[in-house]
Amino acid sequence: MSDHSMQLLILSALSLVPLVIVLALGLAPRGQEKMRNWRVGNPLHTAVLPVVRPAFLEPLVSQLRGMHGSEMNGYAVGLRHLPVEAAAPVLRYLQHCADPAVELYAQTVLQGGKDVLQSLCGRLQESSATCSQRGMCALLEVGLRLAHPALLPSSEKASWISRMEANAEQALARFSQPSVRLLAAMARVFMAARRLEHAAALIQRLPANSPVKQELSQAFAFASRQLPVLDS
Amino acid sequence: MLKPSNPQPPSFLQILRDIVLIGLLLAGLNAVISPADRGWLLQNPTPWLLLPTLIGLRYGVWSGCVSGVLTAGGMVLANIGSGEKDLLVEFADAHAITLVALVLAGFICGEARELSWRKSREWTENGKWLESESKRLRAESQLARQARHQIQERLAMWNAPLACLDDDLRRLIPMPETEVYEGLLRTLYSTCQVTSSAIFRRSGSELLPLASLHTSERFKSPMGLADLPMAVHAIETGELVTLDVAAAESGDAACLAVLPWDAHDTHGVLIIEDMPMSEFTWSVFERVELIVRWTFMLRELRLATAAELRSGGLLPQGDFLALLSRSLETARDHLLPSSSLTLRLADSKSTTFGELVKATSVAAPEICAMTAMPGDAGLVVLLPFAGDAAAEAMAQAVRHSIPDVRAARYTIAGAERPEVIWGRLLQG
Repeated sequence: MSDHSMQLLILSALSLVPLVIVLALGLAPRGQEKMRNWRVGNPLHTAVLPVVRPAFLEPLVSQLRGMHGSEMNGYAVGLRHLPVEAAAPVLRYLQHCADPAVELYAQTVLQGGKDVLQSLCGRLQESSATCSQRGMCALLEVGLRLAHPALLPSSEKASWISRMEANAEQALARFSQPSVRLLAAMARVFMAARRLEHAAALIQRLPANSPVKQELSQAFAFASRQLPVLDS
Repeated sequence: MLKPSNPQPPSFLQILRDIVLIGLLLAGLNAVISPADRGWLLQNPTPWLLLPTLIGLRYGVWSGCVSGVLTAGGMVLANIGSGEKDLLVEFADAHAITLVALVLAGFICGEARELSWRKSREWTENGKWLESESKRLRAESQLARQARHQIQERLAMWNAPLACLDDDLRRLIPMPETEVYEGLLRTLYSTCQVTSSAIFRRSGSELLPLASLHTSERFKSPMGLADLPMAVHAIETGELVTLDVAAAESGDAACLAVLPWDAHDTHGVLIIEDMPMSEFTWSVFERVELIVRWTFMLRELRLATAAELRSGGLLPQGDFLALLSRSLETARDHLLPSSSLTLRLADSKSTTFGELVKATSVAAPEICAMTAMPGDAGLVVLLPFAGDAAAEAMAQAVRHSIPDVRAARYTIAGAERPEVIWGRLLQG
């Protein structure tokens, strides 16, 4: 083989290198890409958990009235682990504490909890026209959490629920085969909006004898006040 | 606190009306009873003193003084008739004390009225303030009572589904093979809010459905293992594999999590297709793992115990220690203690070890593990998730059959190693 043809061969081989790299990059990451969204194992197995302290048997209301200042810091900070709608009343109470640090903690934890829900709801709302069934479920569930009386003033409730109702209607129109979770979430929204006939129709579509159907049927009966009155 | 009250002062017309009315009344009485003695000057004290006294007591110092002056003036006018100067001076000289006394009576009664009025006003204001304060405190105590009740209710119901988890597990263990998988999925739904899930058995490269709850059609029929890469990864690593939160929230992946399980000679995966995002947390997955792991393990134990029962009913010491270790782990991670019971024969001549084993097997609850002490000196029984009451009930039942058995119970919890606890059980 002459030098010229050897050089030609080497150059051709070198020119193929980028092509090979592109092909390799194009093929290989597909599996990796998927796995990037996965979490393997549960970190709680190896995590160092906080020391369990003996429970306070004194009622919380007594502690709240009896403890002062920085003693309440632990409460304010600890409440961030609870669902914000459950912790909101106590956090609101702590906002009137004389200690500015506790007041600030309580305010920050409450605001932070609300912000997380609101930003998640906003993000999901933006993509509500194109999102998956799970996205729509998450939107309706977060919307219902935000409609909790501890988070939403009663004056704003009607408009908020009607917004969720519009989302539920959109979901109903978009997904012809909704998942059980989506059906349940839509039924809950319609019950909250007092559109009971829509809720009843959705509950009927749930699998027969399933726990979700039993649970929602009871909630529906309660919402429409059709519970039998038991004489004790 | 309420603002101090500010009552309206009496009007001039009101005072005048009272003076005129009382004056007319007295004048009428005077004219009827003593027409010759105008102003009842011969009476001591003169009844006309009533006018400034009553007005002073009712309306205060100024009204009292004015009414006194008017009465004195009226008396003078009634007696001098023509109003000549000498007669006026003479009359004033003669009845100076009476005339001055009329004004003084008005002043003194008015002052007395002012004093009592000031006091009563202070008391009234205090009373009003105390009343409002008592209303406020009553409302606050009512609110505090309500809040306390609600908080106690919440505290009582906190983790209520988990508190009965051992009961759920106890129901699952003896279930027949055909029902246990659906029962398990229903337990996961009620305790961990796993909305849609399915359980599959692995057969070569295929996954065969055992049960499903609220799932889509694809998880109701057999599927190739390769169709579900997450399941492949979970089986390879032997660990739970979940989507990350962002992908789970809005992605359209086939499932949210896959948990491998194995029982005896069967292996498979639990597939979580859907669940609320508020429950998509490590602690919930930890609970899911715990339920699945314990269900299969205790069923296996039950089968093994049933097999052992046919050949004596006792577990090898190594297996028992493994279960003891798992119980300690559960107590440490989930604060869910188990109990242990040691049973020793006080008199090995009257009762044999075999009889003790037989009596204990009869008294033993559905889920328990037994092993023999070295040298067949007695039995050690492990009651997973059972409290002292269950252990005591079992000891009573054994004592009922063999009265001279010595029973001691222990709570399996704390940070000690299983070997240390085992040593203590043998010593006890």
